[in-house]
Amino acid sequence: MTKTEKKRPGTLQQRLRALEGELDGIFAATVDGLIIADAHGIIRRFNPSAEKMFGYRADEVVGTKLNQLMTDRDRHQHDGYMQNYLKTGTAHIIGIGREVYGRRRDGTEFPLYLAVGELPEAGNERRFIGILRDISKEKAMESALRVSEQELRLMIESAPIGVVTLGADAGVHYVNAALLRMLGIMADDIKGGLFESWIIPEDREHFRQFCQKILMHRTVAEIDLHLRPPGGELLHVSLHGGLVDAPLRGPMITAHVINRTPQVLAEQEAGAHREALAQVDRLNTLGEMASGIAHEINQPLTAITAYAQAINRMMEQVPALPGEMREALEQMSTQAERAGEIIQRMRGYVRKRAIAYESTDLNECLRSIVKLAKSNVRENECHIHLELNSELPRVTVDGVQIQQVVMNLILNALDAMKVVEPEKRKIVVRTNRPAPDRVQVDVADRGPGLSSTVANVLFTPFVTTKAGGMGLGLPISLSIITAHGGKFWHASNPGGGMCFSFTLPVAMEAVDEAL
Amino acid sequence: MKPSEAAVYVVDDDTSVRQAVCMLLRSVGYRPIPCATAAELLDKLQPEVTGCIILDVRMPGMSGLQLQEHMNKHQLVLPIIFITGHGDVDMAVVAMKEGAFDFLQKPFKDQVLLDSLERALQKDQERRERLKGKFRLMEKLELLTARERNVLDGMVAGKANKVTALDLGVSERTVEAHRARVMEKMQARSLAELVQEMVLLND
Repeated sequence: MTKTEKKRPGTLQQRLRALEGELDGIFAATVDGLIIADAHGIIRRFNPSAEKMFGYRADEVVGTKLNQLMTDRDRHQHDGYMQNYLKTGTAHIIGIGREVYGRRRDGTEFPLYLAVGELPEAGNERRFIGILRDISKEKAMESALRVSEQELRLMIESAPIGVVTLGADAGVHYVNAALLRMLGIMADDIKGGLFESWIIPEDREHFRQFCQKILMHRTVAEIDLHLRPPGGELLHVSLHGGLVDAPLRGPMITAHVINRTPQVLAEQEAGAHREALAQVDRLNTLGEMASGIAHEINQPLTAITAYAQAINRMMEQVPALPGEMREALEQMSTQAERAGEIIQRMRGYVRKRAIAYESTDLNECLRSIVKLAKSNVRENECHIHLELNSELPRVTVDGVQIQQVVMNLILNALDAMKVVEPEKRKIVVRTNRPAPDRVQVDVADRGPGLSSTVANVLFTPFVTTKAGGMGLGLPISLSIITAHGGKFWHASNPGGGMCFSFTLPVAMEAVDEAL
Repeated sequence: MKPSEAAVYVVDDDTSVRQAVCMLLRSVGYRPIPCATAAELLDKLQPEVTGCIILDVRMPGMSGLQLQEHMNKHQLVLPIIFITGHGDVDMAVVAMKEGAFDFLQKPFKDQVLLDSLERALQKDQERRERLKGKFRLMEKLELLTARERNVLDGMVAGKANKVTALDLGVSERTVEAHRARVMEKMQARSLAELVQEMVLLND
């Protein structure tokens, strides 16, 4: 610009005028608002940007007091600031700039960035220039950012799953409320703590590998861990972790922590339940097999013994019988008897298992076995429906044995309904009290029912319609119910299919109560 | 009683067992009646003949226990010896409670079955004789007049003639006359014998 000045010809006055014109141009064209005021706070000049900013025309405000552009908060202090500056020469704002609020003509307020400078004195008058930038947009963005950050933090903080952020050294940076609750600790407890210290020692190496994998390979990873927070119970959790490149802190691990303890405990319980049932099943099967075999073999043995003994007695009337022949006949019956005793001992051994009678809530017993049965059946494969009579008295039974009977009947019903379309498959497990002295359990299906041929041999051991079956399920069930003093029978289900039912006796005290 | 006179029923659905047991019984002089089912037994049953039923517990159709129940209900009284291949204690308890004579485990020693059978037949025989005695006594009682019956009741109760006379409002001599007729009609040789017979009646 200096070059152009030099080139420009003309008088000093002309040149001053030209300069003034340039300054006016700059004053008018500046995007920032420019306001020139005197030491009394009277506005001297007001550029178009300031006009736009405040909604005043220049001619409206020039000659009036500057503080009408200020908010009520600043207005009263402004004069004081000015006085102070003029007296001491120390300014709080000059040459620094600060964020203040402006007041538009319509009374609305807006944030602006204000820089104040003192112009060279013109005559005796001191003049100040204010350079103003409307920062509403920046402010709005900033506050929107803050809100979204807050929302994000709140979302994480109040998320229903646990969230933890770990530094590269696996030190705990952040734990959300859900995780604090899960661990049963306070926010203060986590400061400077190591996540590892909550993990049971056996799992720590595994956890370190998990962190390494995320940090080294910059990938996501999953891990199942057992946590034991200070003074808390053992927790089964799953961690899904990933890498976060935090701008200032460097790489961090953020992980979701899902508490699987209830499921794991439920699975363990179901597993133990299943195992107990399987054990009873094995023993019952063995018992029923021994019993079945004993019966089958005892029949011919009885015949052999009786025939041998009959011949023996007939021969007594023949005096000339060689002694050897007589001995052979005696041995024959002795050995057949011995075989019978062996079978007897074998069965006695298997049968030693006594029934563990206990006062039992039959409905509860059925609920738990049906739950177990459901866990083996997909929802769309079959509906198992409970219709339990809530007025049922307690019964004195071996709960596991009764559950085995019901499980048997449910599995049979499922097999029977294989030929039926899935949506029509339905099993109803029902309890009732048909008389004061007994309760009844029905297991009804919607299968094709039974032919009379099959129905006749239903309880005969080793007779089965199933490819892999042993033919012992129903004989065992019958044995169990009979041993409990109950009755076991089957009938056609009125709506199609079969209904197997059994009764169990009710303890005398309960009968007295009911009468 | 000779073994050949007793009606011994052998009820078992297993042919070989049925035949073998029958052969064993024949070898010692019985004349067993084989039955394959409970229904066949009910068909062949002669309740008036001294006898015994050797009965398998587990049979198709009516089981041994059901047959026992049926007989009890219809007052068909014959001793039952159960034989079973299922040495089931619970079942044995039920059977014995319902009045079974014995419960034998298959296979059994011949002597065990034969001893049990002999005792069962003896018991049935005794029962029948007791019953016969009872019938005879009841026949004799029917010969008495009402007044004689009153005097008999007094005698059985151990009352002196004087007391009975007072009870009935007759003379002691009249009671004595009635008493002589009672002894005659009841064919009793002594008061003690008469009282004993009357006690059996109420047994």
